[in-house]
Amino acid sequence: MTLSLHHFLMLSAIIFGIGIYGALTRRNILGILMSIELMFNAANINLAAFNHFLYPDRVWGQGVVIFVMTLAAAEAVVGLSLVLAIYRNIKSVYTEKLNLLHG
Amino acid sequence: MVEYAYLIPLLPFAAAILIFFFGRWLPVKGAVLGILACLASFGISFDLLMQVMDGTLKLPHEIHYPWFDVGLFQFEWGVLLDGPSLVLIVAVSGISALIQIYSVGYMHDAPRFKRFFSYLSLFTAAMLALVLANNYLQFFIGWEIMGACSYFLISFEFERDAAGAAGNKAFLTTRLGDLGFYAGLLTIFFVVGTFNFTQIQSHLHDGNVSTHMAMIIALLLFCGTVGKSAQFPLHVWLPDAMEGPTPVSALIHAATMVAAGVYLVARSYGFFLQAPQALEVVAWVGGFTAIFAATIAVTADDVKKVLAYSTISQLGYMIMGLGVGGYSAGLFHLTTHAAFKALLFLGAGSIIHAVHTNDMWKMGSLSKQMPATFWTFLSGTLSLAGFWGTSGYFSKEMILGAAYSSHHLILYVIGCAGAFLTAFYMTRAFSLVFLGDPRERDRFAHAHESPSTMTIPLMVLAIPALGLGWLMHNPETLTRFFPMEGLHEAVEPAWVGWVGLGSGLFGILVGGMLYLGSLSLVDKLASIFSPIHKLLKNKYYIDEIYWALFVRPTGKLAQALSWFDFNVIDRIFVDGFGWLATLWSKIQSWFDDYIVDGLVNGGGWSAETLGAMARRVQNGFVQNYLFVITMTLVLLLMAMETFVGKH
Repeated sequence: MTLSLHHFLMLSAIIFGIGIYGALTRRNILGILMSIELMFNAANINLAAFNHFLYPDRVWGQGVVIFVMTLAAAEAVVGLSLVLAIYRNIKSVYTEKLNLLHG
Repeated sequence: MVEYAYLIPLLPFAAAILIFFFGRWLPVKGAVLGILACLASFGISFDLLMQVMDGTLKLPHEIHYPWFDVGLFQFEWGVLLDGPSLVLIVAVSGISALIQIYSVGYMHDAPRFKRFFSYLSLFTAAMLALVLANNYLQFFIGWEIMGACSYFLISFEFERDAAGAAGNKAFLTTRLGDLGFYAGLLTIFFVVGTFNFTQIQSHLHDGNVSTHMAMIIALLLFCGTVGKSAQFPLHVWLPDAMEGPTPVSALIHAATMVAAGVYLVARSYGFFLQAPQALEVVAWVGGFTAIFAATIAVTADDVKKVLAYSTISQLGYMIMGLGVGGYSAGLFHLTTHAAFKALLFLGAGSIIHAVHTNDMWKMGSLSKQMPATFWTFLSGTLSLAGFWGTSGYFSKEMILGAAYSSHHLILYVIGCAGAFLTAFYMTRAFSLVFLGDPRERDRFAHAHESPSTMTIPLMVLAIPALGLGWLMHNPETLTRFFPMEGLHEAVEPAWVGWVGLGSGLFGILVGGMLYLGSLSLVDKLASIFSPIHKLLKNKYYIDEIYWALFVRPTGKLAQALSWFDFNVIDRIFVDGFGWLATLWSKIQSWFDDYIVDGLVNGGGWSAETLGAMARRVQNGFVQNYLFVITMTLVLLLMAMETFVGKH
């Protein structure tokens, strides 16, 4: 059995679904951040897979993946520093304490 | 000088206004100003008279001033100087000045002193404006202002109910006559188209007014005369007008204002000449009033009431004189009467001032205490009684002569009987006041002569009362001052005058015999003729008849209307509409509370409810928002898959 585009898309959808699930259900902000990273990577897999199967002689998709990974790293830095700031303010990293936006 | 004639009424008018507003700060509370204004008017008038006498001023002299325009009609005010007006302005301004001087003494401790003088000045101004008027409109304005002043002054001592009632009575009664006068004015304007006396006279001369119309106008104008000059049947107000202060009675209700009615007939004589039947009515009303009022004066106890009825009677003479064609006789008597009746009233005021009562039965023997008043009152009495040589003698003889020569024999007899009664009641009054024994010792002891501000006017007035007749009685002077074309004054036989004089002297004799002797004879006579005495004493029950016929029904009608007003208009209409309005407002209030407010509150409530629902979503948990976004995205994608991606 050869690996086709569908398999990659299935994998990416599963990872994205896990990421969504994690982002919606984790109480820990760090968990949410990690789930977001999962969704990034699911998208990256998509990009790389499409590039590989549709335009095998080009690397545009991979290039975008590199950009996304760089962005994700920067995002992780900002996100973690936000987490630190939140922790300093409310002494907690659990989202149920974080309802200052409630109407 | 004649171009300043308009100042004659204007000066007292200005004085009236100045006294009314600034009298408080003027010397003698403004009385001086009123007297000076009157004297100035008298000066101008007298100068004009002198100019006429030496021929430098030709009569009639008319001056026009534009007044106002209504459409095509131009109204003007002006001055018409002719014989009657010239004589009357001299008389009115002179008498008014004297009476104001007298009033300074008479009213010295009365309240509302300055207002009194303001009214007197206003009255004088109105009378002078009326006399000098060259048209009926100005005449009417003066006429009505005088009526108002008369009302103010009769009820001057309004603290007493009688004074207030008398003022009302005078005002309302004269108003009844004025209604006719006013209708007459409208008719004149409708028929002739102008109010100007001279123009009306020329229209009458050209025969532009039919006899029929002239009679209607003449009779309507005569209504005004009947009211103002207190002729039967509207005479009832004048005796009551004696409630006013005595100087007012002298000036307004004897000498001048009441003469305005006679003057009106004289001014409108053209209409009367055109309609002989109207003239006949005038003659008979005058003659009847002359004898009617004289009989009442015989039994009056109040010295002012005697003079009041005498005034009515003498006004009747004047009107009878005019009515029988004695134009100059009527106006002559008007002039002399103004002098001697003002004198008599001022004399009565002086007496009342001394003994503090009006009742002649409480006086007596005052001749020693009050010599100045005694002698001046005597000259007035003689003049009124028609004693030979006094001014009253000449003018009264002329009226009787005119009545005889115009073949009004009955009126002549009435006139002679009236002359007898006049002499009789004046002798009676004079004897009761000045002669005989003092009937009340206390009053007699305290009586004293009045101050000189009061006696000097009396003495001045005594001069025309005695001497005016000699000055004016010759026919040339009279026709010069009172000319009337189309009227030939016939010469009557000499005995006509002698009978008149004889009846006057007989009256004096009878009066003297009855009232100078023992008064028991008087009582005996009164008891013998008790029904007649009672009838006269009650003034023929005219007041009672009017009360029953007019006043009481009017009162009842007013009560009925008031009841109707209260129970029907107020209850049904006013209250009913109020109730309906309340009901309607209640409905509206309910609508407001439940429908309008309900809508408003409903809006609020729904916003609140929607908000409450929406705020559940906005609970502040980021994950919740994310969940909603994800679910929405999923739903949208599914929807797209279902509806869009089917190709």
